[in-house]
Amino acid sequence: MKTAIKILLIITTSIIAMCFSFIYYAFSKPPRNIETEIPSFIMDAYDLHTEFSYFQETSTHKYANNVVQISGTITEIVQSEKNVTITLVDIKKGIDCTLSKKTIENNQDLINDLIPGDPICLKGKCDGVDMIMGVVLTNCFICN
Amino acid sequence: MLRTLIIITAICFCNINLQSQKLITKSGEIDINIDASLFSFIGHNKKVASIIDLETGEIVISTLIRSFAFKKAILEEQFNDNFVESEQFPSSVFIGRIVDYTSYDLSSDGRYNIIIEGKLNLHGVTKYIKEKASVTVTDNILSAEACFNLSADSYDIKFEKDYLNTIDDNIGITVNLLYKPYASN
Repeated sequence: MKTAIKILLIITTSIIAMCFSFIYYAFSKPPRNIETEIPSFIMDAYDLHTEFSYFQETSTHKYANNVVQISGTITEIVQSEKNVTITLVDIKKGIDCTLSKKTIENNQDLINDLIPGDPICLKGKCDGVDMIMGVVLTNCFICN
Repeated sequence: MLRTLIIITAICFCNINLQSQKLITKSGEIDINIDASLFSFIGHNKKVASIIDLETGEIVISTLIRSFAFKKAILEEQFNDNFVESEQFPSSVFIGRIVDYTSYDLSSDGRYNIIIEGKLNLHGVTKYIKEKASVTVTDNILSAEACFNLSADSYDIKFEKDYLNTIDDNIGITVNLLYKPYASN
């Protein structure tokens, strides 16, 4: 009888511990790490821009919330206190790529040397297409 | 020939003049705060675009819902998948104007308390809003900020039943925009 109670107690305690572990894991899990994530799409920046220009809705469903790696030519680079934004394809409404905080911290010299016309490869999370910014990629990392 | 040249020059001049009357930002910020009894959904979006026309006081603000970042993955998932359904409604746009715009001289340095009104589209619902904001002009650099609440229910944002009694209907919104001349952006 005592053994049965012991076993029951162990099982109950284990289940409670597992529940708490799961809840703790779920609530403490940090946001996705774009740097280590394998890109869902690897493509030319011009092709991504063209696809969004002609098929906005289907492209949004296809690319939004996915990690996309693009290669292209810089048309503009804007540095502010907090952000570095690199625009590809078109200066007005091209592909707007905001570098991650980590990329800015680790590549400050490289970023300072970048000028329009330079080729670049960036990996970031595609957020969709905006009426002013164009295609938006956030949390971007410079590919090796 | 000379007449044509004068007309083309005049059109180009007018175009440059008009462009210089507009200001733009592509790196504005919006913070949102949804209070719940156990925790708060605090999201930060650094990809907010806006254009303001200094001639008319008209203003457009747009952002993508997916650009909101949260400290915890579970909050980001809940926000995107259950609250604002960002896959179905990927963007939010405000189109409006500064009320009584001609009474402000935004060419002079200073802080101006203004009222903006217009239509806000969020979660597929468009509602008229009228909120207080402030504009600061320093050395021809214009920045704007606003802090207000939105009712989740009025934008058809339904919290899950589990959260129904624990999440506040008011969504706290803080907007910060730092503009640059349109032509140089």
